[in-house]
Amino acid sequence: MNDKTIKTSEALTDMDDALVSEAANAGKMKKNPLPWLISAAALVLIAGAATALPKLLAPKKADIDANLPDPAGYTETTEAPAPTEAPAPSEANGDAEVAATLDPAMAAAEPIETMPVVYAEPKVFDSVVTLSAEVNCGEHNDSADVLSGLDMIYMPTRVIYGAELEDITVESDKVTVTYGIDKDYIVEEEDPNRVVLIWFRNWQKGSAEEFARSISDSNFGFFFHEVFGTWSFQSNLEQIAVWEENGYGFELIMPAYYGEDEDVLRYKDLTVVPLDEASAHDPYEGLEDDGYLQLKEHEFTYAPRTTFAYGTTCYEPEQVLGGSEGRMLHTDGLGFIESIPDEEKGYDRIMRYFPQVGRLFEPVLRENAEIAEIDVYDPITLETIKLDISMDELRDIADGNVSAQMQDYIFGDCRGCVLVDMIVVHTGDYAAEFDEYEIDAYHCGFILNCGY
Amino acid sequence: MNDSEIIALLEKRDESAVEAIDARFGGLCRSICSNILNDPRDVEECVSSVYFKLWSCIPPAKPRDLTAYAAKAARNEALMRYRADSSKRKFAASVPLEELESCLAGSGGAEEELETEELAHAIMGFVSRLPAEQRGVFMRRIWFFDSVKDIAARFGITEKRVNVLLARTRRELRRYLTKEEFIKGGDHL
Repeated sequence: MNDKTIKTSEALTDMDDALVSEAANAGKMKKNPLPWLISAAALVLIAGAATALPKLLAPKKADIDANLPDPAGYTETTEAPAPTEAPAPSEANGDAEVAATLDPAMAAAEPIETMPVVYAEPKVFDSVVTLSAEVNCGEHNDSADVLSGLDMIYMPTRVIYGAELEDITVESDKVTVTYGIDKDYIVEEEDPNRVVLIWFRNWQKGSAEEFARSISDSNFGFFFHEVFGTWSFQSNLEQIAVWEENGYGFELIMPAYYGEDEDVLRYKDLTVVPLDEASAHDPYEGLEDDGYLQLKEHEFTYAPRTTFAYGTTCYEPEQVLGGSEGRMLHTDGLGFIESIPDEEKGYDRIMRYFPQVGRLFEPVLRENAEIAEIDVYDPITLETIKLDISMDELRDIADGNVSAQMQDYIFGDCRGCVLVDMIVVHTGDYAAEFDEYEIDAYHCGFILNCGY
Repeated sequence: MNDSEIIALLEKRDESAVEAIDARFGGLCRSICSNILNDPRDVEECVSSVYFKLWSCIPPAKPRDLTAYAAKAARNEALMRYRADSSKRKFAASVPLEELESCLAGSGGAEEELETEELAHAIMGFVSRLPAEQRGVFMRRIWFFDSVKDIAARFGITEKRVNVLLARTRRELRRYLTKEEFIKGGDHL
């Protein structure tokens, strides 16, 4: 907690009287007998203090605080009397917890009130869930402590401009997301025209609360944005809520909202296989003694579909997220990096997931960069898509200068999104940038939303 | 007893004014103080200080809105104690303050007192323009330091809705402060 925040909060004490009174009287809080009991007890104390008050008043009259409100008359915005000098803190009553230091780690131990966190018995989905959904990707902040999901569900839903998330419930075979628009208008889901993307995350035990808190601290929890008119690399997903339920971690990400009308997004069928019991109940079985998490094959497979944080404030530099020997997932303040030794090629294949979808090319295609390999995948089936495209055309994509004509040329039968996976070899000056990671070449993956 | 009657008692230096203050504003003051401070003893000391301040300052002060006056006195007093002792204890106000901090990140150095005042006024202006429910929820959180649970109970809404309203408001506040150039470098989100 920095000093500026406290000072700013103190300065907020001068809030307009009307707002203070309005808030003081707001709502219909149920009467709780406890405050009345406390008040009754306080009256007893006050009665006792009243007898001592004259003794206190006499010497104090000559020592009235210089910051008294204006005595000239009524004040519209009353300035409250300044506080007295700091009293000595109450002595500990032998309580071992009294000396706790106020810091974010300690604060995190308090119940998380800013994000919905629900705990329940672990549960495995009973059946394969087949949904029709749009594949859409964007950006979101991610906690460095959580690896991306084992599975994901695209759930058709109905989104209305200005809708607010009201509730989320998870059952064995469906997820119900309830939205409200205005207080009196609730819209249920089940509309295939929209999609809610819910990631199942392989929560590290006990991390849900911290993750939720980190998300909260990162000031997430948006609602629907304004128009994003193109297919391009805009922020078109917003993280709404993070919570844990039925033993699974959930992260609710809302899809893009195109226009003020309820535009229909293209979608396709998707079959989702539920988590298996082993991963659901003990996702980190076989954890290495060194503390790194084992990256299972399917975890890595799904990883490229993850969207990543934007901005430079979300990660700690050099923060190691996990991985097995030779496969280290960590961040460098720009995004996730996963290094995969490739003896055949003679260098580490590094998967770098850049902070913002669509800008993945930006730090890649620099001067002296050469794309050694390009693979384009369907992000759902991971089937390879043949991509016949030149370096210049790829650079154009990076710059966002892709015409509709080129879209058709590149992607043909557009299926929503593709995953581009490249191995980039850097030479020259930019190679030095990666010396720290012993990277000569690296993968660059991104998800390209190719329009509708 | 209404504000005028209490003020009249204070002006007469009638000691029953303190009882009247406690009956009228005791719950409010205790709520604010206990939302900021942890130790019930500190809370009671704080409330006693508030009552003493009201006794001391009225007259000559003659606040038009005694509710706001008492609430501000309580907030002032409690925050002062929070600041004095925050290094040693966990305080209930920590979470709401950290939420506020997330809105202010990048807003300049703590040594710029004038900027702090201006920032606070900008926040006040922002709050005043919020829709009623959103304003009420946000005020209860950042000004009164209510818990999400208490806010939900007060407004008769779910805790999830409270979280949602608060998150949205923080984000809107940050955008506003960025637009007004209190926050440099743009929205890091």
